[in-house]
Amino acid sequence: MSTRKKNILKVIILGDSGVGKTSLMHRYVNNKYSQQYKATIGADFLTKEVDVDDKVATMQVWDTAGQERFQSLGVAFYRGADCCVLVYDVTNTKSFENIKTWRDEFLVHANVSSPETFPFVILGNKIDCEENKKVVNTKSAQELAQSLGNVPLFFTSAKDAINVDNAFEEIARNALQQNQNDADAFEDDFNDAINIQLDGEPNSCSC
Amino acid sequence: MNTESTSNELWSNVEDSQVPSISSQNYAIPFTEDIYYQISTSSSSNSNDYLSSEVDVTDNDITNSNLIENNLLNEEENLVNHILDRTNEPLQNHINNENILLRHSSNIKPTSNTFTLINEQGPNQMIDVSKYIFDSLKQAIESADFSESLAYQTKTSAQINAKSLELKQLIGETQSKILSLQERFERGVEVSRNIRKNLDYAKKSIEKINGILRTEYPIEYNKTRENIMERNFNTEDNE
Repeated sequence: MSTRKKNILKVIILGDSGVGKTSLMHRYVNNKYSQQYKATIGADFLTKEVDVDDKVATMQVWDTAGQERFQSLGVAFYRGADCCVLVYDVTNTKSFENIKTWRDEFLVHANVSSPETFPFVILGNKIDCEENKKVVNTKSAQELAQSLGNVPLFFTSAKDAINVDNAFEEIARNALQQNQNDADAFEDDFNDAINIQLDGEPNSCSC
Repeated sequence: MNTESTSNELWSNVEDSQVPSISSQNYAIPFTEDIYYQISTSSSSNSNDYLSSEVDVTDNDITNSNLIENNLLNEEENLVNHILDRTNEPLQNHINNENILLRHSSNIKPTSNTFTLINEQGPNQMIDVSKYIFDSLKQAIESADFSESLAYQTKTSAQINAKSLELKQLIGETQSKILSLQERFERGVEVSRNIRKNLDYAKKSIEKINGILRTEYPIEYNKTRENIMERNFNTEDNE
């Protein structure tokens, strides 16, 4: 099972509605951007082959719905995630304040083996906007990232393709590490063989 | 220590080669010439049927081709059941269940199941039940397919969620509208009751005044009455 999992890195993107989760995913996977807003229904995923530190893996990026009405009743797709990306909009304070809520929501449903060490990455999107529109300052974002356990923080723009590749490279690296840790833990759990030889088994026929 | 290394070898073997860890041949069903004869007879008749049917369906008749496929599957299923009856293996129930599943699953192609294994093998070969079960399980846990089905399920669930919320919202709006309409109706009932009361009072008063005026001032009363009947309300004329 661990070998099968090694090839696929499951990454979940979470965040409020309209912060740019789908745009980030499409920018990273297809290098495309659309100005038109279309709410994501439920969840969808795209895959991309990644090469991190000379290790080739398939990254499965799950884009989720931010709008409450389009959120799924079940969040089964959180399970088995190797990294969670929390996205906020630098021009939307509410989306920044909800980052912690999204993190907690993920930890509740994903059933991760070690919530303290599970890798999260925070992305502050839409940095291409005018300065006067930016309401979330860098310092408060850095403080939040630190308070959540030194979570890597990137300021990105899906529109202008700023920092997206760097952010996803870090995401892939973290996911790969987490995947490896899970695989090791799995092997540790199942390294004891079950003895199927009965001790008291007679050597010869008893008749 | 030995046990542990064996276990690790076992796991690595399973994971690296993607084949069953047990010797599948130990659980294989002997494939006798008698069975092979029956299979070849059956499959040849099947293929003949198929060919003859195919000639008939030159117009791309989809219904006919589906029927042919179903017939083929049924034939093959009967054949496998026949083999299992003979061998009397405890795995019979499991295979039957698998057959039922296969019958209901349109996505699984016959090339990956036992039927093909039988057709491909000659006499004195073994039916590899273990390999069949392992392949079925491997297909079941195919992560890409699983992810796609999960995404599809999530989308469907979200659409249901959205519609359910919309319905709840509409129900709420309707309920509040009904409440306000009910209030307005109750108020209307009260107002109409008051109006009726007032009209009754006015009617009684008019009748009373008319009675008095008719007897005490008959000339003026009749003059005015004529004016009213002729709908002549001009005050100057009255004077």
